[in-house]
Amino acid sequence: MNGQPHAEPSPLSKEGERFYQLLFRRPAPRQAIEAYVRACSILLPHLKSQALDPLPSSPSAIEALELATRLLNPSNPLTRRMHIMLYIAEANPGHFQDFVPQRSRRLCAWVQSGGYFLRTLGLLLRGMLLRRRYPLG
Amino acid sequence: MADVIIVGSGASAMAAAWELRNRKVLILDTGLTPPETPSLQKNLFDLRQGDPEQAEYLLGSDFQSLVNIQRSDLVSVKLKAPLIDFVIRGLPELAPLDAHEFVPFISYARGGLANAWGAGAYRYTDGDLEGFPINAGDLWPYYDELTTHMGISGVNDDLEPFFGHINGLQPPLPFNRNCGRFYRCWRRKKHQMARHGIHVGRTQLTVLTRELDGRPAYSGDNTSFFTTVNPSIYTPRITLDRLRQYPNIQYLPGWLVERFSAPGSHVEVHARALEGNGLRTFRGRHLLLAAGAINSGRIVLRSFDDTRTRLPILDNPVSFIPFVDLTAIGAATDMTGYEGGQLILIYEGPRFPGRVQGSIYSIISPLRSDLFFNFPFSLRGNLALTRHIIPAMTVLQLFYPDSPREGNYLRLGKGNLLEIHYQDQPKLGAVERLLIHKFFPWGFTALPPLVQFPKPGNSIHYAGTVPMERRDLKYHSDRECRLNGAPRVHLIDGSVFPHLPAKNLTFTLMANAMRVAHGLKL
Repeated sequence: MNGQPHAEPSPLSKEGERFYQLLFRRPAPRQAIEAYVRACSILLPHLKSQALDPLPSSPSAIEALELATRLLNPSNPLTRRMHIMLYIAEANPGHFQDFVPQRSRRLCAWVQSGGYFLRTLGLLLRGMLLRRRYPLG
Repeated sequence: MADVIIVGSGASAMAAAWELRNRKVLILDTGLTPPETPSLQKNLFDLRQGDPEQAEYLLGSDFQSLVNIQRSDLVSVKLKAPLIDFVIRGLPELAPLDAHEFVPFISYARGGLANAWGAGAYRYTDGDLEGFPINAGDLWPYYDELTTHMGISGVNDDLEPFFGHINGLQPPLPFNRNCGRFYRCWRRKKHQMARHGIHVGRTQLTVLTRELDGRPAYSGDNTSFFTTVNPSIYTPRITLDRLRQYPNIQYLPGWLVERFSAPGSHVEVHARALEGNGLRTFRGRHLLLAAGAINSGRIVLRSFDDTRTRLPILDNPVSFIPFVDLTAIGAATDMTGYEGGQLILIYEGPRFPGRVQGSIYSIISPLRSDLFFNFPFSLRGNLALTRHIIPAMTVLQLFYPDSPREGNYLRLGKGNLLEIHYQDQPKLGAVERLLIHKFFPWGFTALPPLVQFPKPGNSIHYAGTVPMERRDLKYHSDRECRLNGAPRVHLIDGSVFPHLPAKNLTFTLMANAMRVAHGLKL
């Protein structure tokens, strides 16, 4: 505590936090957000490191929008930014188990994959509708 | 004056230098090296579970490993790793390049492209050498010598008719889980598959399973997608390090060879310093060019100030078939199995004119984020598929042969800009559909729309720019790989291959380089 007022997080930091929360369903660690902001400024300089705006407020709506947009344009800005966040998370030991299974869970894998298949279909329909309001490319 | 000047430090350059290790040899090389970082000494998955600094070598301090987010034409996930990308770092100001319908991977690194190779060592047979002015018997003694020098693990098996019987092999690596199951399925059906022209066997790899000359046996560390330093896996830098202990071998990094002149009794090599840009001339009795098929072609054209001639270029067309083993969905990751190609597939049948060769490997160490968006689900769904499907994935990478075609060539343009054109490509897909159909009953499934056909250049097997021929033609070489019209200049890399079999050429160009070096009249 140095008596200085807390700086308001930048729009890009807030965006990173939302994307992380969407992907991993837990609050984002500070280092991940800092890395996200830096990576965007290096990898997407033509976007001037601005946050994507507007985006839907609910995580599932963002997920739906990303899916529908990706089907039409795999290199759209929302997918690219999600990809950056995925890389940053994967290179953190705390996320090892999110990417690399150490135990066999065969039945669970089939059930979960089936469930996600149905969920993906639902999200795709929702995303197609959302694309009219949020055209991302 | 050196007895021999060798240009380059890649696989063929080092094979020739090893043969000439008792002569006065000067090796001129650009010699780019990886960044100074601690080597990865543990199993990759142990590092990934515990090392808080892993982003440095997985992503890079400037996120250079995420280059695929901006470029979709890069297929190799290995060559973008922060400790490996030096292998294909270009020199755009000193050696400018303009490629059309071709993704060139050119190395200026110490050790060349083989820093990141797949470590497969395949011998050419007389059938593979059809159209060459040499035969397998010319190469065989050098294959044997290299087998002893490099250390090759493997076994003589059903593929012996395609590779010959090989002595001096170390025992093969144990199978990783997916390749092991594929091989067991194959063994049960091999006679039936052979009737369709499909043959499978184990890969001969320059990966040690026994200690050799102080190099340890492979430990299953799975770091080869993130570092080029693994003494169990042969790279030309291992030979270079040994050669530098010989007082008569001089290695000069930091020089880009631009051209040569051959006044008669000796050869003059004109090189530019990477630092300071100064020009210097080196003299030797013979010149061995091993700058890679593309750059050796460039040096030859520049030496004759020729901006009109088109040199042919060969490249193996490639496809990738991602198979999922349905019985392994949800399995744990195989963390100690060897990550490279463990099986070879040969197809010889009516679906393609010419022999097709494939390499079968499991996906063990690449970052899952590299593959994340190959799955078609939503973000959360893809995260689950990444966990459940990738441990069950086996990839078959197919290579097709190539021959000279009119639309595929390189040419020197203005300002020494090297243009590469690759317009004539064979139609692929029929072999892939056959294999998908045949392997489905074993539980290995793939969908034809998911097969990838990368742009030309992605095989990273280039050849044929100054082919060896029996006829005396300009910009061709003879059976001793002497450039016609310049008898003291030899080409010892892939540039001399008049056509390119589907079989990986590295081991053969090394054997050929040794053969040429052995035949020099010194």
